[in-house]
Amino acid sequence: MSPASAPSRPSKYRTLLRRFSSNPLALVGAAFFLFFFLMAIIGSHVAPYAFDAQAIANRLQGPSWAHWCGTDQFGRDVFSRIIVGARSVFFLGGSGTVIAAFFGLMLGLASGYYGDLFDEIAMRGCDIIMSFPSLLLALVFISLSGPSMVNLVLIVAILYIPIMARVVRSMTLEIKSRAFVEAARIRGESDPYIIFVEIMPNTLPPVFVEMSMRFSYAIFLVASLGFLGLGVQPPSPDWGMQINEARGFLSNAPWVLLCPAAAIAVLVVSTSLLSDGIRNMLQPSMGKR
Amino acid sequence: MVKILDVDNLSIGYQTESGHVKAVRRVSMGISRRESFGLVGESGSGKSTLALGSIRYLASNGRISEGSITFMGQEITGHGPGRMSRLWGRHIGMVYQNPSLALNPSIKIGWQIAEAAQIHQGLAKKTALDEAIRTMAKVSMPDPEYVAGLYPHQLSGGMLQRCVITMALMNNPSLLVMDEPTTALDVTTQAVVLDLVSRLKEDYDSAIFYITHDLAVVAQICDSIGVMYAGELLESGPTKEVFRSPRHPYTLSLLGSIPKFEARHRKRALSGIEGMIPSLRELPSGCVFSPRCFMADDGCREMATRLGEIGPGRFSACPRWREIEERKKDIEQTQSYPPPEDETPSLAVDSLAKHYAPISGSLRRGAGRNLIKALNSVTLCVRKGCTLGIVGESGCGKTTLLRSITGLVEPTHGEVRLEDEPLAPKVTKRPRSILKRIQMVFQNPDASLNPNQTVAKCLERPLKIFTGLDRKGRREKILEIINSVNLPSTYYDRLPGELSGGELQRVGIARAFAAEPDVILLDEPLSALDVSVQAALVNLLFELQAKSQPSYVFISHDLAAVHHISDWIAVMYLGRVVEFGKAEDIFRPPFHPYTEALLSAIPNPDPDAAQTGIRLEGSVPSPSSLIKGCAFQSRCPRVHGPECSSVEPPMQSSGGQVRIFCHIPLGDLRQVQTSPYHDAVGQQ
Repeated sequence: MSPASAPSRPSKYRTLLRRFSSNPLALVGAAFFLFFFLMAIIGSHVAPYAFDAQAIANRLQGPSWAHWCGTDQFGRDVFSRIIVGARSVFFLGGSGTVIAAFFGLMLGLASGYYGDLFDEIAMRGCDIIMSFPSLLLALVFISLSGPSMVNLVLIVAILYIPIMARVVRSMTLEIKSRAFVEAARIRGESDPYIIFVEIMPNTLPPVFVEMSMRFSYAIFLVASLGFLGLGVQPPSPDWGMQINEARGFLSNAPWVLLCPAAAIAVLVVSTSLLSDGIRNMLQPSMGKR
Repeated sequence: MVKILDVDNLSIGYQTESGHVKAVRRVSMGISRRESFGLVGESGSGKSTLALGSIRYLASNGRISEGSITFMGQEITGHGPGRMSRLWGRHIGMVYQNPSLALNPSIKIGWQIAEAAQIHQGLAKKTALDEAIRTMAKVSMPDPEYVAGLYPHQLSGGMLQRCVITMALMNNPSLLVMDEPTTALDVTTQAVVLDLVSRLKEDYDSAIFYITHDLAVVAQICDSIGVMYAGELLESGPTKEVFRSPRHPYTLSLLGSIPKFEARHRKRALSGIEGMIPSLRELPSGCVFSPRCFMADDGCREMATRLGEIGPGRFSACPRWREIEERKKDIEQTQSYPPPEDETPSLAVDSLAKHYAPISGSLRRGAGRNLIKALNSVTLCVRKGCTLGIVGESGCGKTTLLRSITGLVEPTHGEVRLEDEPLAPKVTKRPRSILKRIQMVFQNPDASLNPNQTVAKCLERPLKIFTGLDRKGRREKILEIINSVNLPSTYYDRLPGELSGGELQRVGIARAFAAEPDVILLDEPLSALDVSVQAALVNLLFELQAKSQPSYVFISHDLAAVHHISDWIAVMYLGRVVEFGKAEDIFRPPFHPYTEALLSAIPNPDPDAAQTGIRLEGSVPSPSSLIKGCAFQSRCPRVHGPECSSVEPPMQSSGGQVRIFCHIPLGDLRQVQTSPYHDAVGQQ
């Protein structure tokens, strides 16, 4: 499409990459995040033991070369269970966040663009959802509908749609008043064209930043639900559930509890480092304090 | 004479993400007691860096790399922030561009001003407040005791700036640094503040360091002037001499870029400056100005230049300054653009009005009784191929008028007609054939283009909607349009972030012209741009109009620019047209008292010209429906009688084609008013 005479200019992606890689904390975050993400995909194939292989004789052994994180009350390998459990964390948190981002984006765009009564109803709806403590709302929802994978994804999405919608709405309100949108109106462009071609691309950077942040909160939420026994059901491994089950042996076998807890902490921290890095990359002026 | 501030061979650099930038290079200058020094330059010329650097008030990544600064005979180049802070506020006062950011919104004005004296003179709180009120009275603040008890949000911009100036004056500083103090203000308010500034150096015995992009302001208030370009001082000297006989080609070109308020210069191309200001990272070799200079030769491009004394008190960085006088005519423009003979009306608005409900918050609609009348029965008309200029201060309704014409806002009453065909009030109800014929250029070039769309994409859309061109045809047409606004074809797939302000505005203009409309609405298209860029765009607008004969509706607060490019002019105040007529007649007496005040408020880029002294006090009132009679009566210096505040002013026609809405008989106005034209004044 471009004329042959166009001079080479620094690629936009290269600039973004350079900005990201100049931030060492973001790189560390990205490394841990990628490790867990990889495990979520291939974890069940590379785990040293099957996650449900019981060996009662070896129960509650401390960390050793054979069992890096020791074994639990049924003699199952804690490390393998953590690796395999990464999948449910990523699946629940990730798909919940993506769904929330999609619907939040649509709702926010429509709310901000059309304003008036639609905006009023949508935003008050969001207020209602946000006025409940998220864990409480999740507990009520899961106890009513049952702890299935679908319901867990759904509750993550429901909790985060209002937050995403608010971010997008405020961006939309600001962009809507800019002159290029007025120029499009004067050209007689349709509403969908203005919303999706003129406005939406400009709202995406903050949406990505918010998504990465929401994902780290989603990990927390899923782990908390697992801890309360409302997450992934046994025998599938789940970090929160692992911690809950290990409570009884905290004094004589702390590794059974501490290892999955550390996994949660590392993943949450690395995700928020990553999200800081993404924010600095996409919105360099916002990151500086 | 002892200099208050003496800067010798100063260089200042910034450490940035992508390396070291030398923002100011080898600058020498000085300011004496009771002298006002105006530093002019376009954006990015380093004028603020020089001013702040010379009082050691740089951002944390700024460093002085060479040179020395002497303040009141004391070397301050090596002073740390601790020693400097005893000078700042005590001996050096500072006034910023935006007064509402310079004041703390939660402290009463009086206490904020008093604070300066409490800290530096150790006065008690109460004494300091009395002192503050005394100083406020000294800068002719109306009712200082009352104002001292107010919070910043209760005051208008002009009043706030006067408070900031008062604060800077509290400790009788020896040096007052003012960084574009009137740029954010309206012309009539600017005039009041400038009057104050020009009195200060006598009343306070201090030196003034005045930074601005506006040559006219310098001409009006400064004794001497320095012209900066790309981090170097190119010329300095007494203001009158520099304006009369510039000794650097840049100064000459800069003066040629401002539209002159003279009848014979109207509708003429401006001389302007080719090219754009160089990036500080890629400075040209030799003289910094050589790539854009009309008299540059190979010698200029190779040999670096330095500021040298060329006469008593006059300095120029151009070694060939003697040639300027005779080469002057090389850049003089002779091209003029007279309006077409054809007098058929193109766009007309008929008693257009737009009223807003004052509270537009959620669930409270329709609660307002006092409507905000942003527009009040405005009747105007543009002829084919002509330019209608609309001038007025902020809040006069000129933008609402444009938006009603486009249909972006739906007028409350009245109609818009295009060649006698009434248009639907809402843009969404207008057919494509109409939309194609009215296009708009916006004020802020940064916001007028979508940052995610390339230049080509942005220009392609109107072609796709309004013309039947296929993909290949559109591409050819885009390249043609890009070239017609004097941009290189390589800009085809650039993103807006890679373009400068002037280039962005060219693309904005190109987009408006793409579908060859009949009417182009220009919403302050020049006001966000530098002087030399403005000149180039004025020429471009003239060229494009001569080529395809669209009508322009040009709105601006800049009377000189409107005067320069318009065939017809309307003066607006508070949503009403107070005067409307042919451009050549409208600025001849008699004129509406508001027009008169505007005319006397604009600073004159000729330091020899006499200034007329009509100043408007107070600020533009809110355009609510409570106003009875003439909208201007609350500030009018020539109130006629009780009918001004009770009866709508009648329309009067003066000789020529001018309509004036005023109660005062035109004969009376003619007697007391003088022509604003500088050439006419010169002849008398």
